[in-house]
Amino acid sequence: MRLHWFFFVLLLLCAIGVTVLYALAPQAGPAFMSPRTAKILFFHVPVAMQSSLFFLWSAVAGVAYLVRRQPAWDHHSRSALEVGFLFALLATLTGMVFADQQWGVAWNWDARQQYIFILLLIYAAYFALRLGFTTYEQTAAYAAAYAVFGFLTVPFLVWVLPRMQPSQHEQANRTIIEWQLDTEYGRVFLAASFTILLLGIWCCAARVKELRASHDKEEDDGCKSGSGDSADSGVVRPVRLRNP
Amino acid sequence: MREALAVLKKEVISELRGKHGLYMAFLFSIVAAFALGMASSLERPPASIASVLVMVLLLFSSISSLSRTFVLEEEQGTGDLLRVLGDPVAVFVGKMLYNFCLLLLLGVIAVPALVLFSGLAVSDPLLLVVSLLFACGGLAAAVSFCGALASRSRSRAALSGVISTPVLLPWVWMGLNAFRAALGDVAAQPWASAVGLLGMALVFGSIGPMLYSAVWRR
Amino acid sequence: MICCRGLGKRYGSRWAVRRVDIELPRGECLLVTGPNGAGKSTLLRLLAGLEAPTEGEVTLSGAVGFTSPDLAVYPNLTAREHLRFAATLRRVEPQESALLQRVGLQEHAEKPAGAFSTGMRSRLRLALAIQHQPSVLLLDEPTVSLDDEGREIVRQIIEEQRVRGCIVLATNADKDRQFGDWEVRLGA
Repeated sequence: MRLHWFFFVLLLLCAIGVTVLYALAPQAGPAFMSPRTAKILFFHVPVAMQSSLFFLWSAVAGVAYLVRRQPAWDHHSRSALEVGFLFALLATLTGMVFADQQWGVAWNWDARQQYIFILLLIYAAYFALRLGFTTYEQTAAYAAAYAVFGFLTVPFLVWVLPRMQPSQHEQANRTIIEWQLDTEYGRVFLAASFTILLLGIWCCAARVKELRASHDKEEDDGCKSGSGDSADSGVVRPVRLRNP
Repeated sequence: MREALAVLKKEVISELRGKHGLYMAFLFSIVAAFALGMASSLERPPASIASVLVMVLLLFSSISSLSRTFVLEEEQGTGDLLRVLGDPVAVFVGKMLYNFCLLLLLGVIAVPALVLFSGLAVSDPLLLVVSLLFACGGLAAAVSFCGALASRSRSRAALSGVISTPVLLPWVWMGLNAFRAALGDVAAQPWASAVGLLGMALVFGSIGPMLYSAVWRR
Repeated sequence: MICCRGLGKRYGSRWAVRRVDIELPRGECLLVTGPNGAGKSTLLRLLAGLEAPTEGEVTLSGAVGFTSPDLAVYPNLTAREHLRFAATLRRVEPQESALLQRVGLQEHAEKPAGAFSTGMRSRLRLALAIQHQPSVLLLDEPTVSLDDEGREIVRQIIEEQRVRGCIVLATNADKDRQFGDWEVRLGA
């Protein structure tokens, strides 16, 4: 509980820090059409990068579920996937806003734009998959397998394919990977990344808690409904019909 | 491996005797090839469009016919029989091989048909054949797994379409790139794309059986 | 050996099977009885590993043979091909002629199973269930839709398997409780 508060306060401080830094941050680069639009990248880049991280965690938890069969791992896998999906969606939307300001078109079939959209489609199918099964064990097992399977496409969609064709992200990618950001600008970028990561983990943890609570409630309901008709009979055991 | 071949043999015998599944698959591919040819009949499509036609043809052939192998088992109630016999890896690999053979056969018939109907010029036949082979491998591996996942759910047919289509999209670009070069257009690193198709086929083909064995008795 | 403790399976909020404890040594025969919907088939499916239990666990030693009226066969494969296919997947000798003889299907070995009557399909399933000399045999309604001869075959097979040391669990196998040393009554 204490840890929870510590985390919350940390998050709040980070948020304030980012807001201040964001307001003070220098407007980077002459490459931008309108200097103010550069600031959206403090959000766009971290959510885009971290969505893969959450998808990875979802796949890892999926493997853990398939090995251990403990509902907790299913909750982790599911909530990480949801946060990853949300981040990928936010990356797409912020990217579209930026593209609209910068080039006058929101959707221009840029390589990364295409692939993140495919990623969204792949993970959107996960939610369809979860609705299709009758028992919880089945749902969780199949969803976990799909979370792993879906993640197999992530390296291709995030690292391989976008590099095989020209993209408007090339310059930006290189700038960040080789860390050529201005000092001030880079500092805000780091702070924003850290805050968004914390926010993601926080969302994920909250969702795990919620899923666990609803799972436990279902278990309780199941126990109650079961006790109505068979508790009186207690344990069912074989009886001997005749002596050998 | 012998077990997987037994599953493949069972599929082949079963489908050859059943006839209608295979017949529908072939008919679908020919109809699709003809429809695409007709749509581009006004003028000979440039390589960039022609490669799209080839890829769309493969994509729809695979989605319409391949998920059937797993879905049919559950529909006719033989899924439990397979599970009782044990060995999920053999079942998955056998069915994946069957899907690969079927898709390759469809591709070998439908792609030349499309080339004929649309009057496409093949400038690099070797690249075309190799990328067709690898694309079929990748599509077969991914659709097999998606079909297997969807087969136990309540809305099998719809779900297998919904989950396999997006998973197949990463293949589309590599396939497009390779086919474009094979059909005479300038494309960046066409052989790298073909090898990329092979790489994805191998990744999905090797992870698929493992994941399938983890869920198959659920 | 077969052992399950606190076995339960829930579909949604409904328990199909709840709190079942079974422990049987080699060569015993257990009748699973109860009204329709009591969870007899679910219990057998849990023991066969076809369903994952919601609670409790199942321990079985050795191979499992399973048959149920819901278990379909391939309509386009012949009886002989079924047994050969199953043998390859199980990595055992097919012995298809002997097995078909045992269940009285030798005349129909080359017919596709789609042309079989319900009773003939039951016999084929039975042959598949005992092919690999299982140490636990789970028979869900083994005598349903069988004629007198077929029921006699089921009775003999159960005896043969028990002599071999196999544990047999059967639902509705024997209304008169002629064989079977134990009974577990579900949904009572």
